[in-house]
Amino acid sequence: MRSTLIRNSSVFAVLLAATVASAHPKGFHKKVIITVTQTRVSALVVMDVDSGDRCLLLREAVDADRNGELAGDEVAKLRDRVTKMATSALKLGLSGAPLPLQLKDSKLSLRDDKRANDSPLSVAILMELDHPHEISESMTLEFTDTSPDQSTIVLQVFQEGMAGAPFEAEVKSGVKTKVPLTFGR
Amino acid sequence: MSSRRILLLSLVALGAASCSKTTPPARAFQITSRTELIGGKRALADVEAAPRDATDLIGGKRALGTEGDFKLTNGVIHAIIQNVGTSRGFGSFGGSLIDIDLVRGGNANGASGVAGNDYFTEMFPAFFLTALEPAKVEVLNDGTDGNAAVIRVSGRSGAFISLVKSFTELVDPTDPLDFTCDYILEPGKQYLKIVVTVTNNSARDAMWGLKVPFGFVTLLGEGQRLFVPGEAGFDMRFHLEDVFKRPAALDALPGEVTNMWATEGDGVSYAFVPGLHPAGSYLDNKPMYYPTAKKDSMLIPIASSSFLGTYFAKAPETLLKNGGTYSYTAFLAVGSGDVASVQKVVYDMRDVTIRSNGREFVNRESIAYGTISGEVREQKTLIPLSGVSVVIRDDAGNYVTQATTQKNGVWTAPVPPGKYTGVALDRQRSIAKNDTVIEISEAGQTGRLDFELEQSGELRAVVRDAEGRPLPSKISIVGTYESPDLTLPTRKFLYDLRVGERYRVSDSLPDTDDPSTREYLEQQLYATKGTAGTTLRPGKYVVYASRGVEYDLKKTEVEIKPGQTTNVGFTLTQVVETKDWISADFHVHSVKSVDSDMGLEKRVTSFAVEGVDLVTSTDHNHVADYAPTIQALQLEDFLASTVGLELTSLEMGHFNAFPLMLQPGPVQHGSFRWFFRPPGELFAQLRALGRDPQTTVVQVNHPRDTILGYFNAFNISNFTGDPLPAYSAVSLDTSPLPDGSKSPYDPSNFSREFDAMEVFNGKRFDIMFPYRMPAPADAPEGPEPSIRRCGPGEPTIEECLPAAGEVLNRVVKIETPGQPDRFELQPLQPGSMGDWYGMLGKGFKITATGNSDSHGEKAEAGLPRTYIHVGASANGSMRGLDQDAVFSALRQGKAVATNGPILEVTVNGQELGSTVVAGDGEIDVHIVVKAAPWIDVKRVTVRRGNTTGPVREPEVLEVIDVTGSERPVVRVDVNKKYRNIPDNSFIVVEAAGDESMWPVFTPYEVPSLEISDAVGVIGGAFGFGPTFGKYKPQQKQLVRPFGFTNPIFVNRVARQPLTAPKRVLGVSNDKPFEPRVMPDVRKLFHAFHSDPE
Repeated sequence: MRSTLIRNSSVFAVLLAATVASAHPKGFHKKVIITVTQTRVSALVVMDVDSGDRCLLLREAVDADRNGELAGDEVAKLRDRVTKMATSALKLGLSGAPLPLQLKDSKLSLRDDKRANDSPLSVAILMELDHPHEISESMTLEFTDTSPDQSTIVLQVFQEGMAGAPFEAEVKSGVKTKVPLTFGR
Repeated sequence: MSSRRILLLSLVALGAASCSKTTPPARAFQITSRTELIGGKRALADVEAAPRDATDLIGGKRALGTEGDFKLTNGVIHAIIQNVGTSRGFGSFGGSLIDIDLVRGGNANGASGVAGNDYFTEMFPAFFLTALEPAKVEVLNDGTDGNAAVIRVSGRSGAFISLVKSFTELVDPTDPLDFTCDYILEPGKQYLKIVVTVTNNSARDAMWGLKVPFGFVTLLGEGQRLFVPGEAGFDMRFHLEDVFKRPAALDALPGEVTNMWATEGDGVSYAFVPGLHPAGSYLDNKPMYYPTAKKDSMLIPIASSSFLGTYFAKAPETLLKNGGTYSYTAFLAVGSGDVASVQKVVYDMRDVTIRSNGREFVNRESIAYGTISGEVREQKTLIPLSGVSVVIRDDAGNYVTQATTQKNGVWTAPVPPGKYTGVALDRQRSIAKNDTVIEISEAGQTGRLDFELEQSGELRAVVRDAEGRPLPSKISIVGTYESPDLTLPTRKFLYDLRVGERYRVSDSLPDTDDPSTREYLEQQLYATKGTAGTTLRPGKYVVYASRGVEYDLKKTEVEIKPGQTTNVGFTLTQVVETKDWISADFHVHSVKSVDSDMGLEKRVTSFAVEGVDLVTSTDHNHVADYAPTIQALQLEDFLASTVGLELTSLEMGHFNAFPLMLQPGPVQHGSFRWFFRPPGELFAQLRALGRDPQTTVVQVNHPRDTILGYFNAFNISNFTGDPLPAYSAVSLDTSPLPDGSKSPYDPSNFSREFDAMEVFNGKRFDIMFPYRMPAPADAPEGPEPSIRRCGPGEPTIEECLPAAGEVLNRVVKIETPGQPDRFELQPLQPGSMGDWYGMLGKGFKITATGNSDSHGEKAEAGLPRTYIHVGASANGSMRGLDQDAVFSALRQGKAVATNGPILEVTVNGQELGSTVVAGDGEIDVHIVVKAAPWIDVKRVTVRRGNTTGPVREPEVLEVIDVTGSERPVVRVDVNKKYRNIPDNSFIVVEAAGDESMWPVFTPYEVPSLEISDAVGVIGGAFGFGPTFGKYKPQQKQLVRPFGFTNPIFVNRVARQPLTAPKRVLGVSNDKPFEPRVMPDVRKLFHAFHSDPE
């Protein structure tokens, strides 16, 4: 019997996956986790923005009342902006046909600091698509994305039924990556 | 605001609610702005015109709500539910009820802060030993339709404490279940209804492995005094100890059975009652274990200020089918400060649910009651007395209710039909009884019960220094008791905790015919500016004036007479010179911690009167600054402060960091999420909060204090300083994560990246030194364990009982291929002193500190304290203290931890923390031990340890006996020469006395019940009994003088020490984790802990 904590552990462990390798230069850190079953494609996009001028600009831009604190609508606005920034360039395809993933929800973390300052921030975005036709083996998943600072993106693709390690790569901004789908067969 | 006014306001609100057709609607909304007033959102024009500091939050000492949280209000009460995230209270997760109060009049403003009197810390649903880990908090109904306003918290169960994994594995269903918790507020009601629902959305049926209870965990915090109707009254502490002796079983956990808990507090009180369930309750049909249980009863297995468990619902007995649900209900009422006011709300409560078959089910039935009221006056003067507590008992001896008198001396309390008597009491007088039996035979009937309390006297004390200047000092008023039986504990006759009488600490000596063995502390006063006064029970007392360990102690006898004032004066002298040294306390709590009710003024004053020079604020998960309070009290000449934090995990240890930057925006001012993170990351993140991360001091607190101790949590060997395999059923869950990577609690994550270790914590000698077998005459009561006595040729792999005075060890088996019998002996209770030696033995230069960990007046400030060799800025006013020099010296180990004896030690002329090069192995040690005349010093011990290997106990180079009946300030001033000191050694010197430091420092007489007690009790019910039976560490003990130095290192050859920068991590710099199994991205997304908007 799996313990409650193990279930819990998995949640927290993957929470940690929200951040990317420390070797990455300071700026935007983007990671996309895609899961593919024969009927559904889901994606979790996590983007961390390191502290500095970028964060200052992002935070200050939504501080409508200029009181130095972000609250309510201002935080929501910031979430929407960063979400758009993280998803606008994301393109998925299935053997040449576009996969129009739909934005389901997004969350913003200001790291417990709601000031309009240069503190870091993160966004997590849930995207899903119930595919109208069965996705079969021998198809190819195509992934193209661009990080706001043109930095590389960590991509992980998990396929239902596939044993062993997932596809995992640090892909360049703007360059299409193809992942063969085998579903473990 | 007076409690009477609050009561009136409440009654007016209630009246308006019940009589008018225009009962204000209930509202639920997310708090989006501070520029909204209490009671609901205002029109935009009003919002813009509102004072800037007006707020939609709830004010009060325990207020934790902030923007992004969710609020319920109906004009009578209001409550805040925390958004998702990490708990701001004491638990693990967000989504809890964190603030609740009556809606009060008066606007908030910048000067007075937020209007309100929230005194509630946290409550969350508990499914046996797991909690609801929320993924979402939402407004289910905002109340605009005129119906109840509802806020829903939804998520899955999560382990808020992994230590009990062994138990939860036996119990919890295999597949995760979905839980919701609805907080429901109806228009006009003075209580919250809470409905918890579990749904099985998995593909398979769900089953609980054992019949376990569901309920709630509440963290009341200090300041709300728990009252449990029945035998306990206000004394759950000792009552639970008795209850734990009753039979228990796997499906009948031990605990108090009652139908309600309530509280008494300053202007606000709370009561909790369970709702009924059609399928019955956990306590049903167990007459052998719960003979007094009724259909609305609940079980309280543990009750302390930081953990009140309340269980009543039973997990579904049969399989919870796919798609099936199970719900349970409870109610939390709010009163105006006494138990009676909130009981009335409960008695009037009636709640009905319409079931799917169309029939009504009564979740809660109202209770018929009459009213007893009366007046309390002072004898002779007949002046009405306000703030007096009246406690009512029924004819079976059960405590039924408590009411507080208003300004006119009148009290009133609702009681069900029955026969009653009562007592009246306040802090400064003896209890007054009235044995007149009042019978309430039917609902609505009234009765009257009046009391007269004795007339008190008054004491005024003035304390000056030798130059006649007012001196901050402590006044201890000591009485002598007559014991009806010399073997009885004082709580049986000196005071009655069950009626809420004040606890009075005693000298804890065995009672004899000699009155000096029967002393107790009647009151303790802080003469902040050299003067103090109080009203007192008439009688004879000895009044002591003291100012910490550097000053002498003066006393005088007084007789306090009714209606008269007695004046006393003292002159105190600093007899122990501490030039270039300061005394500091690096572990302190105030009202900013949920388990302390000590206001900031009293907090800082307590240090000034004990002669402490520097205090560090280290509140639980809250960064506080005591400097403004010190300034307001004009104590800057006597006391400096620095900002710190005690990062408080539930089960992995407590860690201080200082000096820190206080972040004014966040409600916890910079404290951060600790849950399920490896300790090394926490240390690095604590440094990031520092004024200068590289010089921030990270201190491990009380490393061997039950589950609160870091070294206990990681099973660290008291011998090698390395982690051992788990050797207890109650142990952190170190299971690998699903992808095979390490748990944050994996032994390899034990981090030594800290700078200081609190070796000496408060009065806790029991966690500083390993537990030793007592002499037969001193053995505790209880059955002998079944294990054998140790024979010759020990140790062996079988556990045994050693001779008196020897360390009682347990056997830790270490599984090693090819070595089936490999084991290590570990003390049953390891001591932090051994751990510190272990760290030194591994080459880590960790500074040992001594701190009070004081949460209130019972734990004296600066007991013990850490003396630090700072230099010239230590002399004179503390306004000129160079704090950078303080923390630099502390990191270098120029420090002594002591509760009395003050040690000055050099080796070859070099001070503490230094490294001496002695090529020939010969060292000259100069030892000076000083102490005020009231402090006993019997022996000074010189020890030598290694920095290159395990140290079970450093070698004793010499014990210097301190003889003679005279007590000069300088007890020892000697030069000692030691030869053949090996390379890589260190020298530590200890000073100890045998006599109690009473009454300046009082004994540790009543340890509080901790979470570990609950865990232990529940573990016992599961068959995990103590191996060593009655032999276990005794927390109850006298405070005897003890102090020790930090080491001076001795090498044979000069070496250049290696230094590396400290690791510093922002909150974002978590260790990356790469999943290896296909994750559920929805779950990952929900687990992303965003800030509330």
